[in-house]
This record gives sequence, structure tokens and C-alpha cells, in this order.
Amino acid sequence: MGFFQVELTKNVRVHPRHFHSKLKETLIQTLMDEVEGTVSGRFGFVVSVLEVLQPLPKGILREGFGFAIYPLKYKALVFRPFKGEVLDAVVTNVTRHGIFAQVGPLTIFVSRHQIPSDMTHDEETASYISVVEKAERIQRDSAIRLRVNGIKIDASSFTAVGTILDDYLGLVE
Amino acid sequence: MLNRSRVPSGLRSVQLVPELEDATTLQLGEDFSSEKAQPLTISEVSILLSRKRDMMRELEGPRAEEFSSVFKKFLEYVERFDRYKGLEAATNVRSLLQRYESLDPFEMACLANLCPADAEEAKTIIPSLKHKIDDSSLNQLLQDLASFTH
Repeated sequence: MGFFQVELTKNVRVHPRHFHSKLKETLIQTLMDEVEGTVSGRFGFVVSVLEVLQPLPKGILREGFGFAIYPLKYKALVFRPFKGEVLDAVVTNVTRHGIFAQVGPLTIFVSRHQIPSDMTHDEETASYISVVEKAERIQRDSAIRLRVNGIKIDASSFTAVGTILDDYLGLVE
Repeated sequence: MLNRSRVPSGLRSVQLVPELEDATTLQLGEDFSSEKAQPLTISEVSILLSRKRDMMRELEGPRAEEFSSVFKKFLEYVERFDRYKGLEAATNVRSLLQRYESLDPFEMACLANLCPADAEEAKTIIPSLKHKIDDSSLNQLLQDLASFTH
């Protein structure tokens, strides 16, 4: 859920000054620099390059430019959220409109209407407290189990909304 | 009517259809079908990321602490939610799950990561399990998973 190993391709462009014995290392390092930490609507967050598939392909020289392009195939660890999945997230902000929680760099908003009505917002402590069980309090740094209700994807990022209304969702740990 | 010649060329063939995706019915789209993508458990990710971090630290100079903020945030996340801790436990969990061939790899990762207490909870939070595995087998699996938690 969330984390996947996928095979991706990237055209890595290399300047002729690297056309020597350390070319392979340069290629791999350039790939990592270019893709790690990026996010796309299609594959989600590229967390880490795991392996570059060998043998490395031959470079294709760009006519008139001198650069070579290497179409590298690699395995990557990605994080891609899906509507409907249940995830644990860390609360970063609590307001009367709802709760903001994070799964790594992904922010998921749980609106007030997606929080059980037997939890009330306490302005003073910036938390949601259960009226039934006073010890049950959701505040900054709490871990909550939520279901992703919706994901909006644009070319370079995600916004997500979730719910803790259903059974077995809510405060964890 | 959309005048195609005015649509930026990069967008003409974009097919982002998140509305059709639904993890509760295992509709993850073509890019994440079980042939193309392997779901990983949080413990496995934790091992991969800490190895990478250790490797980076061994390099001297400016590269040593150059992690992207995406990497740092996920590293923190998996350290917090890793239930099994360590290569041996993570491997045992993986072997255990693989024995249940009726389960989809996505479901296997969900079970490991969420560690539901019983079959009812599991089938509620992972609805695609409902008609795939009987409660007593699922309860056995969950008990065995729990025995690996740290």
C-alpha cells in the first residue's frame, strides 16, 4: 500500500567531458540527481533509485550538439497513493475545519465532516477529543489511521483528502 | 469543441484517470498492475532507505548529507510505522505472506503494514479480501504476522 518497486526509463543527457572511464558512475549519479525526490502524477514520489539495469545502453549522440543521450532503465522505489486505501499518517495541524496529516511529504486533509461527531474540537489544545473517552485525543504528532477518499493529481503533485469516520479508523498507536 | 491544435502538445496524450482508480477493488491502473509494480511493506522500505542512507554517509564530502526532502520525510515515516524491525523479521513476514497465493501482492503489503487484529477488521479496512480468504485462515495469518512484530 503506497510503496511500490517499479521499472522506469529516463533519457539521461551527458556532456562529452564525461566521456571517459568514469562515465558509468557519472550516468548513475546523474540519473539519481535528476529523478530522486521528484513527484509525478503518474508514478507518485520517486523516493530512491534501487538499481540501474545492466548492461547500460549505448549512448546516442545528438547530431550537431555533441551530447550523448542514454535511455536508462532503472528500478525505483516510489510512493503512489490510491483512492480507497487505508494508511497511517502523522498529524501535523489541527483546526476547527479539520486535521492535516502527513504520509512522508504527502499531505492528507481530513475535514471536520469526516471526523466522527463524538469528537469535539478543543481550540485551546488544538486537538479533537472524544466525548466518550476523554483520553482519546488527536493532536499534533498523533498517528491516525485514515482512508484516502479522494486524490487530485496534476502533472507534478498530489493533494489528498481522507476520512476517519469508518470502523477501525482513527487514533492508532 | 476542443480545438486540438491549440492544446499544448505535452497534454494531448495525457491519460490521468484517478477517478477510475480504487484500491478497495484493486483497481490500481495499468502502471501499478501486479505485472508492472511490486508493492513493498513498510519494513522492506525501511531497510532499503536505511541502507541507502548508510551508503551515502560513507561517501565523504558534500554528497554525504544530500538527501532530498522526499527521502528524509519517507525515512522518518517508515521508521515510525515499521512494525517488524530488521531484516530477519521483514523476510519472515514476506515469506509468510507469499504462502497465501489467493492474496494479491497489494493486499499482502496492506496486511503487513496495517496489522489488523482479526479477520473482521482486516476485511473492513481491506474490502477486496472479503470473498477471497475464509476468516479462520485469515485469523491464522494475522496471528502469525503479529508474532513477528517487535
